[in-house]
Amino acid sequence: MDKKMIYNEYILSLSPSIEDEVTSALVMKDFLEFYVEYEVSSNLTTLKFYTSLNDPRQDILQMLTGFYGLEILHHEVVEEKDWLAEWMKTLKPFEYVPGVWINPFAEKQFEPKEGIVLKLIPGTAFGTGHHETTRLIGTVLSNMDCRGASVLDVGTGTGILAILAKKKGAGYTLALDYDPLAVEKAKESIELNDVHVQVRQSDLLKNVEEGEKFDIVTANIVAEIIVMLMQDPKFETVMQDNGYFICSGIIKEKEKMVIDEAMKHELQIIEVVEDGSWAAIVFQKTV
Amino acid sequence: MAKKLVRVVKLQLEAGKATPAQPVGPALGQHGVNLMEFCKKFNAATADKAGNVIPVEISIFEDRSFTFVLKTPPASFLIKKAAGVKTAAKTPSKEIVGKITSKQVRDIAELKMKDLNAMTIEAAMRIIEGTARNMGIEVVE
Repeated sequence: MDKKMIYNEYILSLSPSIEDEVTSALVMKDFLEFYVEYEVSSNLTTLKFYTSLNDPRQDILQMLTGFYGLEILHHEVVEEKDWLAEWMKTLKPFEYVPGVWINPFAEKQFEPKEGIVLKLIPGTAFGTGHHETTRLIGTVLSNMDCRGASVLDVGTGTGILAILAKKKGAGYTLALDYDPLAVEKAKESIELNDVHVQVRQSDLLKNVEEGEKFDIVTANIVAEIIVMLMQDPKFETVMQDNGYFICSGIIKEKEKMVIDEAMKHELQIIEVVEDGSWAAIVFQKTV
Repeated sequence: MAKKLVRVVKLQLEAGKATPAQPVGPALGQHGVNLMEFCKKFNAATADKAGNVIPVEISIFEDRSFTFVLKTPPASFLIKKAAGVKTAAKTPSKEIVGKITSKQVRDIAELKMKDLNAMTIEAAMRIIEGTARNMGIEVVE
């Protein structure tokens, strides 16, 4: 791109009650250079739109501010950016947990002095290695002896934990996720890392096949879903005797809820690890 | 996973034609979302809907990961397409720019049923008819 395009950028406040109407009106005018953004922390909804300086689309601005009475919060003349290049600049390899590195590039190789490397490109699934809960469970898993162990990862997201287990020498590994997009992403990550992991779309343990049993079961989800997972009719049978159940994504206040449920399933607490407001718990199945 | 939702972005995109330029670039790029992956997945998911405008709702989480859901095309877009008109009436009360049949209204209502706040197909049809009238498009038998 030699000559960059110059745009008008407008940010307007938008009430959610008229959002659909405003959106329809813009589409009706064949205008698609806009988006609606809802920010959770401020509970604010805004409409942002772009017009080129050559064709400023005064009719659009007029309709939004005049007819719908939206307030302009911000107006700026901006130069078109290469957003892809900007995004690439934000990526770099990092040490996910001690001794385990994440390389966010598919093509570029990264070799740390020591430790293992997982290739993981942030995208359509949780588990990029940046979040406390993913780090907590990653630390626990990387300190375990995974060699030859069969591993089940429930709510696999990017597949990060299944790949880590496999790189640590795990045997048969199965990764499940409810979200088809995550399943697709996990398959991509697994291929990128050149490891063998089965991936299935599954509502909790529904698609675990009969006879599949695991030495280690991991779940980096949220407390409520972890409780539901333990209540799944297949939970008791997928856990090998003396097997480990490692769960993360638990807000500290909900630790008790998870432990109370675990007590109903012959699980014994081995370790509770915490970081900030998050906790991960390691249980072992007693026989 | 323990997803903390940070923001939700809604875009109206032409099926199969998402690119990292405006509006997708700034909408997702400023929040560190993997633009290429979004475009690739959106285009794959909408490849069979060419010619339609597809609303898409993207949830962006704390760790910059995202998920997205596709909605049905806006009623106004489907009505224009069914009526074969390019633009809606400027003053719908005075001007009729096209017409659609009640069978077409039913088809649109059926397609949009899951996104409309309607209990029955008849109620959904009334919503579509109202939108059509506001666009200066007459509903005929």
